[in-house]
Amino acid sequence: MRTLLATLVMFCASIGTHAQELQIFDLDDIVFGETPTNSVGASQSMEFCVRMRPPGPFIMTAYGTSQNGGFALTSGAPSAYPIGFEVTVADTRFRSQTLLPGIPSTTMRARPLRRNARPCRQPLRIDINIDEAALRGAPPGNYRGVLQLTVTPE
Amino acid sequence: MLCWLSQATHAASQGSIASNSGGTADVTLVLGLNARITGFDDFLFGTWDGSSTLSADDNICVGQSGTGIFGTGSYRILAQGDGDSGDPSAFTLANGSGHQVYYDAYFNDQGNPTGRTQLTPGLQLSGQTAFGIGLIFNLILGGCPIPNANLSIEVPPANLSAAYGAYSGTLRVTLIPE
Repeated sequence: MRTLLATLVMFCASIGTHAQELQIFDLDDIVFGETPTNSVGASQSMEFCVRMRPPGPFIMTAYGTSQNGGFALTSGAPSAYPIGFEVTVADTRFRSQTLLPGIPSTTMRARPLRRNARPCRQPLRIDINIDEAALRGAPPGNYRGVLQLTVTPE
Repeated sequence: MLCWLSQATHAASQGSIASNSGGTADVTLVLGLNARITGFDDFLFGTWDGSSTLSADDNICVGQSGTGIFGTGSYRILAQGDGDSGDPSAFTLANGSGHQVYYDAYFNDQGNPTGRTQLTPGLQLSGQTAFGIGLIFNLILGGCPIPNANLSIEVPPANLSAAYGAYSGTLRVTLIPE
């Protein structure tokens, strides 16, 4: 009996220290395509999913590829001129918040993580917005950047 | 633990199941429309008669994407000459001794010089338009199938009075689609 009790205590302790797990997935590239230099801004969105076991609150941190992780696209030309952009994220309840580079978001909620539970039915959405001034000031060309998204249990 | 994956054809990477998870998405933008300006000919003025304005014009072809065949596209033109000591874009011709003669350049968004606008060296001329059918064919076809613009040059007699010898120069014209 004493041995069984000790085993149960050890098992419960093991469960108690088991870390939360989560996953960000279904990310896609964000392609603006041809955008005239005189456009009144440009916007694109991308849906993706976050699932978590056990489900709970999480935070998201985003980084760009310009200096200090800022959100910007560059052409790679010798006179590289970065086009800055704004990132907003909307959770499954469509509450939207603006992300700042390297600054954790406010609390969001993830769907439960179940193995073999794809596809995601309640995606989150990232919106990328480029304002008119950023487009008008940049020389024509092909611009590229990478958006890195990290999710962590809160 | 972060898991970064990369693929050549699909650059977005997915996060792994872990205590924190990270993924990436490529963001791409093509700023400006595809454009082509063709049909340039050399301006050969021959020998000056000592009194007339030297004048010539050339029909050229402007092509760009982003306009439907029945629509209208707009664009800007930037013209730059060989420059002088004070302006790197000044419209100048030079002889072998370095003596310069200034000329005037004009652009019209029609296939003739009527209604043309004088160009300022190094400054963009905005508000130029063309029908979509010409823009599309001029973009996708070689040569200059539908002349829809005109470039003209004048050298006033006053600019030639001190000239001696043979003069030449290059005028660079840049099409900036809107």
